[in-house]
Amino acid sequence: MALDARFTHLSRPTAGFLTIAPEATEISAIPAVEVRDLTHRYPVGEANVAALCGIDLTVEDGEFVAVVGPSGCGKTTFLRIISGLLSPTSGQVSVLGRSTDSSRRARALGLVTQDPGLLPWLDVAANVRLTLDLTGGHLNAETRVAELLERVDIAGFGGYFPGQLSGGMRQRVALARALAHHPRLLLMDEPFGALDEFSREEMRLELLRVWEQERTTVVFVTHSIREAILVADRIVVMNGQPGRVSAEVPINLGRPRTLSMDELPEFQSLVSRIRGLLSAGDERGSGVIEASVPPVAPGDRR
Amino acid sequence: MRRGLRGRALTIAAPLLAALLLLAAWESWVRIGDVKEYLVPAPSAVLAALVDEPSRFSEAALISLQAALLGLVVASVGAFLLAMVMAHSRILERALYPPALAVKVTPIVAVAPLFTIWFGFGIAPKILITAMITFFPMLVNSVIGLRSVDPRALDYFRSLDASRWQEFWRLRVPSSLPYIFAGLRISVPLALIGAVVAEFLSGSAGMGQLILIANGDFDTPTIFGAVFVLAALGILLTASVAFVERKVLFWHESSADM
Repeated sequence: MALDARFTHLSRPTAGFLTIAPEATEISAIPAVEVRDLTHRYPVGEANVAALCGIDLTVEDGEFVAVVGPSGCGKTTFLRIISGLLSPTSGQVSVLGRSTDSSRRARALGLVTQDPGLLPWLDVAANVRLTLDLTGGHLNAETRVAELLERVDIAGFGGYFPGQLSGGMRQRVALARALAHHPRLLLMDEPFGALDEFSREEMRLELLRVWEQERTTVVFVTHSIREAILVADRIVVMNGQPGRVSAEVPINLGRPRTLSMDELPEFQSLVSRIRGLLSAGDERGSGVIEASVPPVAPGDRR
Repeated sequence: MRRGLRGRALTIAAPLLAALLLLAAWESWVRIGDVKEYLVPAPSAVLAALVDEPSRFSEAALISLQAALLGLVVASVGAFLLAMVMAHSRILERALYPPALAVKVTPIVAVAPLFTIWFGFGIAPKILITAMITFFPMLVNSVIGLRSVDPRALDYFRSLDASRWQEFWRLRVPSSLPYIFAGLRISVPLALIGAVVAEFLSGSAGMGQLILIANGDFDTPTIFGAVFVLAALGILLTASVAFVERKVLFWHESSADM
């Protein structure tokens, strides 16, 4: 908690979003995402395999939440359900106070995936502009596109085609494209997973910088603990097959975040705490544990 | 740069040189071996036949080319429209695939006389036969093309609640173009075959008729001339498709090494 004192001049409270920075528009009491008892199964041959089981999660408006978990714990499925692209088997999911489908239809979502699926036949500017075209146009589309390219630091590359860009640059385009229509909820699925370490670090800061300007709620799926701590207000730890939320960890590091923060003892202790939660969840296989519960005895393994 | 230029000159010069050597060998074989002209004419005799009455070949070639291209257009448009329906639903695909396959496996030669009875000796039966031959490759490629959409791009479209229309024109159609061009590369030579076969069978004007008449006269140099003209047409059409493909599919990996 000493950290809080050190960063009070920078920090943004992680609770009580009604009171945060005045430039943050449209902050409301309605949670951005509310998930209750979500379960999802999908058919594999004759069998029905459970991907997610009994998930509860609330993401407040304006919050930056990272979901961390090992591969195959259903993070991507979870994100697809929130985005309304996939209907859950059971449970309630609401986004901005309505059904996922109605939020999707209201164009309230921005989506960035590991392989962003940019359209290779459109240049960078046209790819970003496409979002505006698909969502019913924009009074001044050219200006908005230029502003977005500027914001993600690729102002000179509007005429390039995706095939001519590096992975990091493509993710910048994907970010600009996802933000073009001012979505209230940005969903990111391992957005920097395919990048080299240098580009990853650069993109994390870039994302934070853009987020400070665009101010939208973010749900960020990653398997990198350090990445999650660096970007998020709160980390949701997922485990097991089927995936469950095993813990939620608030990140009380100040903002703006910097890369050197990972040298702070607080950062290190968060890393080991989350690592512990992840391996504890592994041993339990599938079981909901509280953040404070120590790893269970190996004898309890299922 | 210099190497590039030299490389390009070589890629043009090498096949030309090979063709010239082949023709020279052929010419000497016919002359030295005293091969009868009605069996195998010398290249010089073929050239003489071509130069003697060039309009005979060019007129016939234009007629055949017209039938081939119109048939290909009819087949491509029809195949694409049907592919739209088939790509839209698996049930419709299952329902429509067998008749399409039946058209493919039916020997065209067997139905061609019917077309002549129904449509006469004009261009119509030729277009129909050409279309029947080229329809299937265009259909298969169009269906696969309309289906092979990057799932991430599709997620992006759906996350923004894009309409089916937007999804179709802005995503599916451009994604299908590499497959459609692959279909065209297969279909262009087939279209020429279709036109010539139709002319053989109905005896209507064109390269097929030219060959048929020359055959009756044992005019082998003219037959060879017609074969060369048809080969040149095939090369020209294929090269045109490749040229347009490079321009249109500049973004696709198939254009990377061109």
